Amino acid sequence: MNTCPDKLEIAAYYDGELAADRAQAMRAHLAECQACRAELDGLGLVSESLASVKAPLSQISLYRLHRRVQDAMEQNLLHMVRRVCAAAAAVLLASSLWLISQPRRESPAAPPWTDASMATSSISADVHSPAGAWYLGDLRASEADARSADVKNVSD
Amino acid sequence: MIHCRCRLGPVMENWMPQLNSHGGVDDFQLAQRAAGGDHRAFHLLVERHGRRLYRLAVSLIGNTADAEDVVQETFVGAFKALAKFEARSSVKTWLTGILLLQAAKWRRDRLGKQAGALEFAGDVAQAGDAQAQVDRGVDIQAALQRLGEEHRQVLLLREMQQMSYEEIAEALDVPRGTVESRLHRARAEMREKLKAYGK
Repeated sequence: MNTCPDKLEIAAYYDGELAADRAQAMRAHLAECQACRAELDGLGLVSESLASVKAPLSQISLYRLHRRVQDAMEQNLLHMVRRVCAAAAAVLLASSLWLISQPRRESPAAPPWTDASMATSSISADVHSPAGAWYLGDLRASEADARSADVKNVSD
Repeated sequence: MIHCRCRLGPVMENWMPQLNSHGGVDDFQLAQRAAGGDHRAFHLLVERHGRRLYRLAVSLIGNTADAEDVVQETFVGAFKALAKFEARSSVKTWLTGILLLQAAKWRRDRLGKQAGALEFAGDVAQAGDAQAQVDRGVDIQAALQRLGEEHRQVLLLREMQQMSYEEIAEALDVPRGTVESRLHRARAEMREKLKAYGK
């Protein structure tokens, strides 16, 4: 590195941002060049000045910082709970409105076993079965016997 | 290392044992846990980065009271934005970027109304101990406050936060070359201003 490097490059060297080979060349140049060493020293003075600025965060300030963050977290949680509650309330309200808006339905049909007409037809259907015919025949025979007994009693 | 600060009140007492349980976890994991609802993890991030950001805020703004507010708003903003944190940069860079935005917002809100760099520097002076150090601190703060916003930011990020050019570029969302040129100009300006103060 015969000619002086760019000041940006000196700054990059100072900040440890130069690649290894460039940094090596820079060191060699600085060993020979007083002007570039002065530039480097100037950078050091700025760093030194800024390093002397102290601004320690006091314990109470740190506490306030934690407290503020905690408040924000709790507020955030509260907002979340509110949003969930609001969403649940909206769903409930919408469902209720939908139910109210539906037309009133007829009562559902009674099951077959509670329907009297069906029960009758069921019995009449049974009459045509052999068991039904037998039962009815037996019933009719009993009725005929009763009637003849009555006639006999009257004639007596 | 986290020290017990039980004298600071019951709230802090509740945090400290839990913060200690996260001791070996890196920043990114803490941010992930915090995003998942672990508030203690976020408090540990505050513990790790609070002092560093506060020092930067004081230098950017020039007074301790407003710097404290800005740092508080930085962490509150970071907490709200946790879900958006994509780890494209480090947590340190991400937090620094938020602080810079908050500081810029503060400047827009307040500095427009009442300018005067030395006024802010005087506020910092009250926090110092030895008079000589205070005077020097006042001069440096005054010089800092007289730098342009962009130059001050880049200078402080490099000199106080020890951030690399790449990290600064990420935090400010500018190309690396811009960082280098701004840093160079900021240093040159700072040297001139300190010369004017006889330092």
